[in-house]
Amino acid sequence: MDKPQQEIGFLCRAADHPRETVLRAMEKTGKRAVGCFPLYTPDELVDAAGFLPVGMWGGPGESPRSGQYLQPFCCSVMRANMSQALDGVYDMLSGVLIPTFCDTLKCVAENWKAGIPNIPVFPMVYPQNVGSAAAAAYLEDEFIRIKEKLEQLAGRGITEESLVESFDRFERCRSVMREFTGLAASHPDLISAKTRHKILKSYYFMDKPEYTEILNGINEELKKRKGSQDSNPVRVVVTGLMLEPDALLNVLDANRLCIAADDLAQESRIFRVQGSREGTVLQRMARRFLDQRGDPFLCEQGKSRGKHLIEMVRQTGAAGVLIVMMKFCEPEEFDFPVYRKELDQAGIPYLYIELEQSMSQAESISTRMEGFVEVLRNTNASLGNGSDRSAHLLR
Amino acid sequence: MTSKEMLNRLLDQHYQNAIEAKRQGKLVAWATSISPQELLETMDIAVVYPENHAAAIGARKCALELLEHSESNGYSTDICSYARVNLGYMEVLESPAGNIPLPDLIFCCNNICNTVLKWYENIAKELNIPMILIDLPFNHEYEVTEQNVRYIRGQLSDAIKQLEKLTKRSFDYAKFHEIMKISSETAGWWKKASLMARAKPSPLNGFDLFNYMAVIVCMRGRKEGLELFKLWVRELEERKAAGLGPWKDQEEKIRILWDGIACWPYLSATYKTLKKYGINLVASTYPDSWTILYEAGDLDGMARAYSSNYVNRNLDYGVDNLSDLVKEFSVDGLIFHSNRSCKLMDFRQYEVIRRVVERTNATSVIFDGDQTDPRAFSLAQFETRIQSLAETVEEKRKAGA
Repeated sequence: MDKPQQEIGFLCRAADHPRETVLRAMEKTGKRAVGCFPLYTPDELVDAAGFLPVGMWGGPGESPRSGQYLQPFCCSVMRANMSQALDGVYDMLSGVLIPTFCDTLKCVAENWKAGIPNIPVFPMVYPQNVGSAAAAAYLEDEFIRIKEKLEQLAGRGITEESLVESFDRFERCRSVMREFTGLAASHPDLISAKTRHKILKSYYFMDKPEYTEILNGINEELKKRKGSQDSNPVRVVVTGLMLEPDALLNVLDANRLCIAADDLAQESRIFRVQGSREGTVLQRMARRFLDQRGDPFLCEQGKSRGKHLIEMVRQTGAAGVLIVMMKFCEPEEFDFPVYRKELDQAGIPYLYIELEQSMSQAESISTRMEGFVEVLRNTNASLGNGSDRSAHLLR
Repeated sequence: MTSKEMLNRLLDQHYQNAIEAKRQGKLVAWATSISPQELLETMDIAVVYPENHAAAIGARKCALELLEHSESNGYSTDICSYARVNLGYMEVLESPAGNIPLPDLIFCCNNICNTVLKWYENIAKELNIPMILIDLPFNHEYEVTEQNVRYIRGQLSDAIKQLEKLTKRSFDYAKFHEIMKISSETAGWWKKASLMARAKPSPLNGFDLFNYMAVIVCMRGRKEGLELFKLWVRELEERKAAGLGPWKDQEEKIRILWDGIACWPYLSATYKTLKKYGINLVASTYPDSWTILYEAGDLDGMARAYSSNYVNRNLDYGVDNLSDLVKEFSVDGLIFHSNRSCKLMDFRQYEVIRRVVERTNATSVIFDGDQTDPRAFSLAQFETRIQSLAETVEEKRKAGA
């Protein structure tokens, strides 16, 4: 089993050193890079224009310079992105795409124009009225607008042929990622929660064909491997923006928590919807976005997130749900009271933990996680029900 | 009858009508504050505005109980306090500030923020009622693009179809035309009233804008609303002709622009603090937010107008807009409300302040507060900031003289 371990180690290091990974990919491919803020950037267009799409999901460090633009009650991911941009960490980027799904993202895109004038920014607005017939046409227009911006930046046009290739390349990558999440759940002894996160995160910084090939190699090895040696892992479904920082991941690993499936913006939400085979590439990209359900950043009548979480728990045989709440993330915070009620009704236990990306210690989380795991291990009683419900809310 | 008496009467009537409509089995909608109410008025649907109601609850100092109710349901204290008040009210259904009937449908327009998408989505889910959404993409370009207009226009047509289905009646385009006309006219008179503050001294006590605003939100498409603003303008013109300022017992010494929503639970305290220093609010971004003007019958124009409000525009527009207001209203100082509830207004403030101050040389201060959560405001901090503003303006004047 040396080979998968080497490859796993390679991807984990790539995730831990984003800047070096991006610079290496740029050197290896001879391509320039375009930054892609959360969420749902059209990476296919960036690729077809000849750029490396690079994910921008904050980071552990935060310089006081973000305070020139943002109040302290802004989410830590966006404060980190502003900090790093102002500190020149992103100077290797030729441009940045910011889809403005929430009010904070709208403001960050506007501040970027002012604060980081050396890196052109292209704000994008995705449609929220996904049920309206006008939404698909609007989104296609938005993709065309961004395609033209990227063509200008690249100094060359994007052909339909190259767009088809790019879309297929990303569809393949997404399907390999989907397969990986399924396999990882059966091998928690090899793919811990932290390792799983790092492997998925390295996607954002690497050259995608290289990433896809390595991940596919890991998948093949996992398929050959016997199931987990750990006969009794605690399996949970995790939901929220992202599973960071490391302090949290260390707590998960210390408690031998196995991620049975995730509903995270940084992980499965980006690859769980398969593209259709019908229509032009731009139409297929639009459809893939409009088919997304249960996502806090997309308005959805009837809000199916709770239903999805319950289904995920039942399908994977998970014992409960881990809710990782990024503090000040309003779309995520608004969903919680609604799906919490549904989890309660379904008798599914959950643990709610509030996080900031800049957090370096996790003592209080550690204690609560231990309690959560103990309950999941020893009883099937619902933590979400009962009189001490508030004990699971960290404020 | 004075305009103030008429204002109070109209607001009472507005809430009574909604309760009566519900009692009679008519449809009631909850709508966001800058939404095309013309569609609902045409369909004779009673409309209530949760933001207005939450503000009234805040001003009557009875928000805390509802905030805590929502928080006990799992709503984070970081979430917009209007939403927390309203989602609490939705279950408690009782407030000393007055009651509103529960909705049969939700009418949501995100030109004011994306927070309302989540808030209204939750109401619709909890009450199991339909939500009509008009998605107005944020304008990162300076002007509203044709691409956006096409999308919004498409949704207006969708909304009409949805309303026809809900009411089982066909949409009366002649009535719609008439309501569009009234709405534009009302908006014009609202703007005219706010422009009276250009006079020095201003005959308008700017905090009145916060009160009259309730009617431009709730009754823009109604003749009574139109009549109110006409009357108010007449009164202000008389005051101006008589050379009267905003107050009987205080002189207007400093003219300010207020950025952001009022601190409703401390409306009177903030007002009195300003008045103590002779500071009058003469300008804000509020007047233009409801100056929604378009030709009756022009759906493209309507789409553009509803997407053109200040908070839905980019930072360059914001800077130009505030700088123009400073000049037009002879503003000495700017007061920015760093409002814990409103991320969309807050997270552009620092850059806006830098540029507007550089361009206009006006003095500025920023204070921490919240639109309805009384726990996020300190009167002592507010007063210190205001005092410093007054001193700086005075010093600049002396230096200038």
